[in-house]
Amino acid sequence: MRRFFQSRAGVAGLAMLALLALVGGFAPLLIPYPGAGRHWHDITFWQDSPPAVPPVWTRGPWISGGASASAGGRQEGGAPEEARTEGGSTRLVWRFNLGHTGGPMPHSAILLLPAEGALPVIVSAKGIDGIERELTRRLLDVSAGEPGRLAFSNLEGGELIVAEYLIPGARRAAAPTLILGAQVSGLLGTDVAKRDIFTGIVLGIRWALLLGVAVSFLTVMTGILLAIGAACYGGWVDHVINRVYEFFSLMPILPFLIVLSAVFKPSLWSFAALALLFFWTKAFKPVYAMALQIREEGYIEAGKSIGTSRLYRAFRYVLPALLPYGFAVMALSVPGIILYEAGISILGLGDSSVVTWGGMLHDALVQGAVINRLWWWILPPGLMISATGILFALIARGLDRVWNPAAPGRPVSARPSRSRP
Amino acid sequence: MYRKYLVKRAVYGLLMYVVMVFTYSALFNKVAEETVRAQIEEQLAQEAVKHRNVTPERLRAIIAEQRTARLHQHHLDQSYVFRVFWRSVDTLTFNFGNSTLMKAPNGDRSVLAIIGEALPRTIVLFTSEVVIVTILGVVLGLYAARRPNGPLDRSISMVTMVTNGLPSWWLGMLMIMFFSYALPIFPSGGMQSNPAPAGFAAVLDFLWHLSLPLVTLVFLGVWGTAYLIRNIVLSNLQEDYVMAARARGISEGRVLFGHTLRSAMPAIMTLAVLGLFSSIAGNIIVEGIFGWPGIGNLYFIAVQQADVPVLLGVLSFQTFLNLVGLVCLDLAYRFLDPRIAARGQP
Repeated sequence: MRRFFQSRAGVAGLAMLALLALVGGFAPLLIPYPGAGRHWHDITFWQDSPPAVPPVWTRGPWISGGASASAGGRQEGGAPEEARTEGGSTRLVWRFNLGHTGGPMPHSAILLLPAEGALPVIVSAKGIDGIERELTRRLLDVSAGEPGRLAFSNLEGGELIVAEYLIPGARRAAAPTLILGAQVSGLLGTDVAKRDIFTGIVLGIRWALLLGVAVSFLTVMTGILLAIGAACYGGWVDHVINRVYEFFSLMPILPFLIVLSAVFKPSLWSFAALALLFFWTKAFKPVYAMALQIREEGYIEAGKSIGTSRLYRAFRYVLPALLPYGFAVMALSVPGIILYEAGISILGLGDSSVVTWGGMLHDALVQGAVINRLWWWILPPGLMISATGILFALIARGLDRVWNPAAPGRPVSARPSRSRP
Repeated sequence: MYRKYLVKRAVYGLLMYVVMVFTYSALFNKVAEETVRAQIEEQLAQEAVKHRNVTPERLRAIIAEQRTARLHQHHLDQSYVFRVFWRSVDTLTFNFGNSTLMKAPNGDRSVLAIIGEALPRTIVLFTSEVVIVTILGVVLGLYAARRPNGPLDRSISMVTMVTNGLPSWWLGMLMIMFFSYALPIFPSGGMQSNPAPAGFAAVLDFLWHLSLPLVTLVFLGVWGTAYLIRNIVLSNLQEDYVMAARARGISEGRVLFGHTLRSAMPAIMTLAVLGLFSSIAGNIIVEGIFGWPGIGNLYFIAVQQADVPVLLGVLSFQTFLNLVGLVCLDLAYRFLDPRIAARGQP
């Protein structure tokens, strides 16, 4: 253990892992939108955010234009400018002054109408020059309880927003509210569906870590146990395990995943189950070769001569000799599993009920983030995936020091396999 | 002795192929059968139009008769085990039938035609990747091995660590975003401009489309290869013959490229051949992202549209290639190093 802490790479990796685990564990406290994990795909949860806007720091005070005008906000309507009764219904007009700051204008805005029934609404904008242009005209069907929502965009600087609508009868409606969508939002911006990307990244940590660590632990342990079983028992056990190994090491996992996701809804658990069934083969072959060697060692012979059982020898002598190597392989196989999950998500076979980095990238790809150059949507999830990969590679390097003290800096001889789902 | 091993290994590989194809068939049997049934009904509907001068009862009888015949022809009137068996036989004999939705550009719906069309494109992209990666990797790896723990060596091992956990398709997305949309230098996908130019311009156009995916793949692949080659070469540099060569006053460059590289060649060749074989199957997501119309893209679309005949065809093709590669590798090992035979399993 001390040797692990002597390796700078191992300590750095462990520190990164601790930080990531802390952020992932306290995610509910850190995210600006509490409850976002359960409502990630809920459009109404995100409806007040601006769609596809860059992060706040792209429009800081250090960039001309300033942050003030792009911050967004709410404006209450107050009393109507005009209220005319026309043939059984009332025409109401409200004006919102967006100010003459001359700075960048909000991307988009949402008008909240606290009324009921089918309302014909016209929203127009009046420029400084007095020219009025129509922004949107719609028949809004508003049900009781929820205010009606009307979203519009293409605002320009220093305009007056004029909202005009008819309500049946001579009733007075409550004042509408104008929500100005900010031009920038959050630490990492928002996506097309108005979701906060920083929230998604933080929520994705736990699934990546949980899935990566749990699956790699279970698969490597299974691989080690089967290898020891094959090596120590020999005969037909050896034969059967090796044939099963060959089958699963050659078989691609994707067809199984496709069939499984056609029957059940794709979930992280079905992916984990399949990964367990297939990925144990990655640790099997080298461990098997080592176990064959250890089997011939003198101390095993000695154990045999004092009459220990085969099971005892396997667990008391062979397993402890292989465990340090096993831990290094575990650390090294975590990035592969996270990558694989992301790859599956990109193919559209991922779990859509939880927030994963792969799932976010899938949405980005499908919803045209590449074409629209929404870099703040594409960069963070991929960077997180690679950062997680690097931290586990560092830990593996530290573990390698424990396992292989003679060769400093030489990582475990695992083939660099790029996962190709 | 060697011939006996060759036959044994080949038969064993073939057996493995049969088992795997059987598994695919069992997995996809239900959907594949639905496809065949739908195609039969389609054919019957076309047939029905031809019989104009018969009574409705007679027509119904004819259709029913033909349906039974067709179902029998496709073995759909047998029990489940036999249906899976016949599907495996069809797949094994490359009789994949017609696709559900996907088409070759000339309208052909035969799976074999679709695969045959996509295959050369994948070979062009990924084979050139493997060749470039191997050459660059050898050069970089040799220079890194010359000064272990030097700046080049350290940066190679750093970048290897970074690129190992990097999703290749994510890098592809970034490349397209920056080099096709932010700076419109390269096309965003596909293999040809529309409309396609003729003559020599077509070749240039093709290369222009090839460059972005190729650069992405090479950038990702070269570091790991360089690192591996550095390790192989480094262990060779400790051999006595290298010391002897140096003692004779041979220049360091010649020691590196002449002596060491030659003895490292079998390992490097193995690496390249293995890369080549697995590359023919394409990379599903990378081809999907770049819209490169090869085997991987075919797979990508087949998964998304649940086109099972195409899926089965691509899968069994991929499996076949993988197995051939493995068998060849085993045979080559045994041929190059007869000691392996004495030690047992390679």
